[in-house]
Amino acid sequence: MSDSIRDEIRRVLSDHGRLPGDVSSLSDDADLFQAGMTSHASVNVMLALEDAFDLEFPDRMLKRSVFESIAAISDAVGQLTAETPA
Amino acid sequence: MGRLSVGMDLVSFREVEEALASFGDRYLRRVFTDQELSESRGDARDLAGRFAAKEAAIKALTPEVEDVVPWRSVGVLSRRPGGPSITLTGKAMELSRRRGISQLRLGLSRTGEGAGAVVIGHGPRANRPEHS
Repeated sequence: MSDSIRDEIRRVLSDHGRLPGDVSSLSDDADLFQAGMTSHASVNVMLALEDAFDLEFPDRMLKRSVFESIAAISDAVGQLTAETPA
Repeated sequence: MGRLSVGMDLVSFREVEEALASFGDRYLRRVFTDQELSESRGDARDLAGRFAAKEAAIKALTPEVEDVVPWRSVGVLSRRPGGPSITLTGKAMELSRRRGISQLRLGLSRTGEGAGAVVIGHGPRANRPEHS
Protein backbone atom coordinates (compact mmCIF):
# COMPACT_ATOMS: atom_id res chain seq x y z
CA MET A 1 0.00 0.00 0.00
CA SER A 2 1.41 3.37 -0.97
CA ASP A 3 2.76 5.91 1.48
CA SER A 4 0.26 8.47 0.18
CA ILE A 5 -2.65 6.34 1.34
CA ARG A 6 -1.14 5.92 4.79
CA ASP A 7 -0.45 9.66 4.88
CA GLU A 8 -4.10 10.32 4.10
CA ILE A 9 -5.15 7.89 6.84
CA ARG A 10 -2.91 9.75 9.27
CA ARG A 11 -4.54 13.03 8.24
CA VAL A 12 -7.99 11.57 8.86
CA LEU A 13 -6.88 10.23 12.24
CA SER A 14 -5.42 13.60 13.14
CA ASP A 15 -8.65 15.39 12.23
CA HIS A 16 -11.19 12.88 13.59
CA GLY A 17 -9.46 10.29 15.79
CA ARG A 18 -9.35 12.48 18.92
CA LEU A 19 -6.08 10.84 19.86
CA PRO A 20 -4.32 12.43 22.81
CA GLY A 21 -0.88 12.21 21.17
CA ASP A 22 0.67 13.14 17.85
CA VAL A 23 -0.52 10.82 15.08
CA SER A 24 2.77 11.22 13.23
CA SER A 25 4.55 9.55 16.15
CA LEU A 26 2.47 6.36 15.85
CA SER A 27 3.88 3.41 13.97
CA ASP A 28 1.77 1.82 11.26
CA ASP A 29 1.14 -1.15 13.53
CA ALA A 30 0.39 0.78 16.72
CA ASP A 31 -2.96 -0.11 18.32
CA LEU A 32 -5.14 2.97 17.83
CA PHE A 33 -7.56 2.00 20.60
CA GLN A 34 -4.68 1.53 23.01
CA ALA A 35 -3.42 4.94 21.84
CA GLY A 36 -6.69 6.51 22.97
CA MET A 37 -9.09 6.39 20.04
CA THR A 38 -12.58 6.02 21.46
CA SER A 39 -15.29 3.88 19.92
CA HIS A 40 -17.24 7.00 18.99
CA ALA A 41 -14.17 8.53 17.38
CA SER A 42 -13.80 5.38 15.29
CA VAL A 43 -17.21 6.14 13.74
CA ASN A 44 -16.00 9.58 12.69
CA VAL A 45 -12.77 8.10 11.37
CA MET A 46 -14.72 5.59 9.31
CA LEU A 47 -16.98 8.26 7.81
CA ALA A 48 -14.04 10.57 7.09
CA LEU A 49 -12.17 7.70 5.42
CA GLU A 50 -15.21 7.11 3.23
CA ASP A 51 -15.11 10.74 2.16
CA ALA A 52 -11.35 10.76 1.64
CA PHE A 53 -11.24 7.60 -0.48
CA ASP A 54 -14.73 7.72 -2.00
CA LEU A 55 -15.78 4.32 -0.70
CA GLU A 56 -18.12 2.80 1.86
CA PHE A 57 -17.26 0.38 4.62
CA PRO A 58 -19.80 -2.49 4.43
CA ASP A 59 -21.22 -4.08 7.56
CA ARG A 60 -18.84 -7.04 7.22
CA MET A 61 -15.97 -4.65 7.95
CA LEU A 62 -17.50 -3.12 11.06
CA LYS A 63 -15.19 -4.91 13.44
CA ARG A 64 -12.41 -3.81 15.72
CA SER A 65 -9.62 -5.43 13.69
CA VAL A 66 -10.33 -3.19 10.66
CA PHE A 67 -9.77 0.04 12.60
CA GLU A 68 -7.16 -1.07 15.12
CA SER A 69 -4.10 0.29 13.29
CA ILE A 70 -3.01 2.41 10.37
CA ALA A 71 -1.79 -0.73 8.62
CA ALA A 72 -5.14 -2.48 9.15
CA ILE A 73 -7.08 0.53 7.84
CA SER A 74 -4.74 0.72 4.87
CA ASP A 75 -5.37 -2.95 4.06
CA ALA A 76 -9.14 -2.40 4.29
CA VAL A 77 -9.01 0.67 2.06
CA GLY A 78 -6.94 -1.28 -0.45
CA GLN A 79 -9.41 -4.14 -0.40
CA LEU A 80 -12.42 -1.86 -0.87
CA THR A 81 -10.72 0.13 -3.61
CA ALA A 82 -9.94 -3.09 -5.48
CA GLU A 83 -13.58 -4.19 -5.16
CA THR A 84 -14.94 -0.89 -6.48
CA PRO A 85 -15.78 -1.04 -10.19
CA ALA A 86 -13.71 1.41 -12.26
CA MET B 1 -26.61 -16.54 39.49
CA GLY B 2 -25.00 -17.36 36.13
CA ARG B 3 -21.93 -15.88 34.54
CA LEU B 4 -21.82 -12.08 34.33
CA SER B 5 -20.11 -9.76 31.85
CA VAL B 6 -19.82 -5.98 32.08
CA GLY B 7 -19.33 -3.22 29.53
CA MET B 8 -19.14 0.54 29.96
CA ASP B 9 -18.63 3.57 27.75
CA LEU B 10 -18.50 7.34 27.98
CA VAL B 11 -19.40 9.79 25.21
CA SER B 12 -19.21 13.57 25.37
CA PHE B 13 -22.03 15.62 23.92
CA ARG B 14 -19.46 17.65 22.03
CA GLU B 15 -18.25 14.55 20.17
CA VAL B 16 -21.76 13.85 18.94
CA GLU B 17 -22.36 17.48 18.04
CA GLU B 18 -19.17 17.47 15.96
CA ALA B 19 -20.16 14.22 14.24
CA LEU B 20 -23.55 15.69 13.39
CA ALA B 21 -21.92 18.84 12.04
CA SER B 22 -19.34 16.90 9.99
CA PHE B 23 -21.39 13.98 8.69
CA GLY B 24 -25.04 14.79 9.40
CA ASP B 25 -27.56 12.26 8.21
CA ARG B 26 -24.86 9.78 7.15
CA TYR B 27 -23.66 9.58 10.75
CA LEU B 28 -27.19 9.08 12.03
CA ARG B 29 -28.08 6.37 9.52
CA ARG B 30 -24.92 4.35 10.04
CA VAL B 31 -25.13 4.27 13.81
CA PHE B 32 -28.75 4.49 14.95
CA THR B 33 -31.87 2.49 14.18
CA ASP B 34 -34.98 4.11 12.76
CA GLN B 35 -36.70 3.78 16.13
CA GLU B 36 -33.77 5.42 17.91
CA LEU B 37 -33.81 8.30 15.46
CA SER B 38 -37.54 8.68 15.95
CA GLU B 39 -37.22 8.69 19.73
CA SER B 40 -34.17 10.97 19.90
CA ARG B 41 -35.27 13.51 17.27
CA GLY B 42 -31.63 14.23 16.55
CA ASP B 43 -30.84 15.57 20.02
CA ALA B 44 -27.08 15.28 20.67
CA ARG B 45 -27.50 14.64 24.40
CA ASP B 46 -29.94 11.83 23.73
CA LEU B 47 -27.78 10.34 20.96
CA ALA B 48 -24.66 10.44 23.14
CA GLY B 49 -26.46 8.34 25.76
CA ARG B 50 -27.63 5.86 23.17
CA PHE B 51 -24.16 5.53 21.69
CA ALA B 52 -22.62 4.97 25.11
CA ALA B 53 -25.25 2.31 25.78
CA LYS B 54 -24.59 0.60 22.43
CA GLU B 55 -20.87 0.44 23.07
CA ALA B 56 -21.36 -0.74 26.64
CA ALA B 57 -23.65 -3.49 25.36
CA ILE B 58 -21.14 -4.52 22.67
CA LYS B 59 -18.40 -4.71 25.30
CA ALA B 60 -20.65 -6.80 27.55
CA LEU B 61 -21.08 -9.21 24.63
CA THR B 62 -17.26 -9.62 24.71
CA PRO B 63 -16.61 -9.73 20.96
CA GLU B 64 -13.33 -10.93 19.50
CA VAL B 65 -11.49 -8.48 17.23
CA GLU B 66 -12.84 -10.32 14.18
CA ASP B 67 -16.48 -10.32 15.34
CA VAL B 68 -18.66 -8.07 13.20
CA VAL B 69 -21.06 -6.05 15.35
CA PRO B 70 -22.68 -3.18 13.44
CA TRP B 71 -23.85 -0.35 15.69
CA ARG B 72 -27.36 -0.65 14.27
CA SER B 73 -27.61 -4.24 15.49
CA VAL B 74 -27.76 -2.89 19.05
CA GLY B 75 -30.76 -0.69 19.74
CA VAL B 76 -31.46 1.45 22.77
CA LEU B 77 -35.12 2.02 23.45
CA SER B 78 -36.04 4.75 25.89
CA ARG B 79 -39.77 5.23 25.65
CA ARG B 80 -40.67 2.24 27.75
CA PRO B 81 -41.86 1.68 31.30
CA GLY B 82 -38.92 0.80 33.53
CA GLY B 83 -36.41 2.98 31.73
CA PRO B 84 -34.15 2.50 28.72
CA SER B 85 -33.41 -0.99 27.52
CA ILE B 86 -31.26 -2.81 24.97
CA THR B 87 -32.59 -4.71 21.97
CA LEU B 88 -30.42 -6.91 19.78
CA THR B 89 -30.80 -7.90 16.16
CA GLY B 90 -28.63 -9.55 13.52
CA LYS B 91 -24.95 -9.93 14.36
CA ALA B 92 -25.30 -8.68 17.91
CA MET B 93 -28.06 -11.19 18.59
CA GLU B 94 -25.92 -13.97 17.08
CA LEU B 95 -23.03 -12.97 19.32
CA SER B 96 -25.22 -12.92 22.44
CA ARG B 97 -26.37 -16.45 21.65
CA ARG B 98 -22.80 -17.64 21.07
CA ARG B 99 -21.78 -16.16 24.40
CA GLY B 100 -24.80 -17.57 26.19
CA ILE B 101 -25.79 -14.08 27.33
CA SER B 102 -29.48 -14.20 27.94
CA GLN B 103 -30.19 -10.77 29.38
CA LEU B 104 -28.64 -7.30 29.21
CA ARG B 105 -29.29 -4.73 31.92
CA LEU B 106 -28.58 -1.08 31.13
CA GLY B 107 -27.67 1.77 33.45
CA LEU B 108 -27.48 5.15 31.74
CA SER B 109 -26.54 8.54 33.14
CA ARG B 110 -25.88 12.03 31.79
CA THR B 111 -23.91 14.93 33.21
CA GLY B 112 -23.50 18.46 31.93
CA GLU B 113 -20.88 17.35 29.44
CA GLY B 114 -21.57 13.78 28.47
CA ALA B 115 -23.25 10.45 28.94
CA GLY B 116 -22.10 7.22 30.51
CA ALA B 117 -23.54 3.75 30.29
CA VAL B 118 -22.97 0.45 32.02
CA VAL B 119 -24.39 -2.80 30.72
CA ILE B 120 -24.36 -6.08 32.60
CA GLY B 121 -24.82 -9.27 30.66
CA HIS B 122 -26.32 -12.29 32.37
CA GLY B 123 -25.83 -15.87 31.33
CA PRO B 124 -26.46 -18.65 30.82
CA ARG B 125 -29.86 -18.22 29.29
CA ALA B 126 -32.32 -18.16 32.13
CA ASN B 127 -34.12 -15.34 30.34
CA ARG B 128 -33.67 -14.34 26.75
CA PRO B 129 -32.69 -10.78 25.77
CA GLU B 130 -35.36 -8.84 24.04
CA HIS B 131 -34.97 -9.45 20.33
CA SER B 132 -36.73 -7.50 17.62
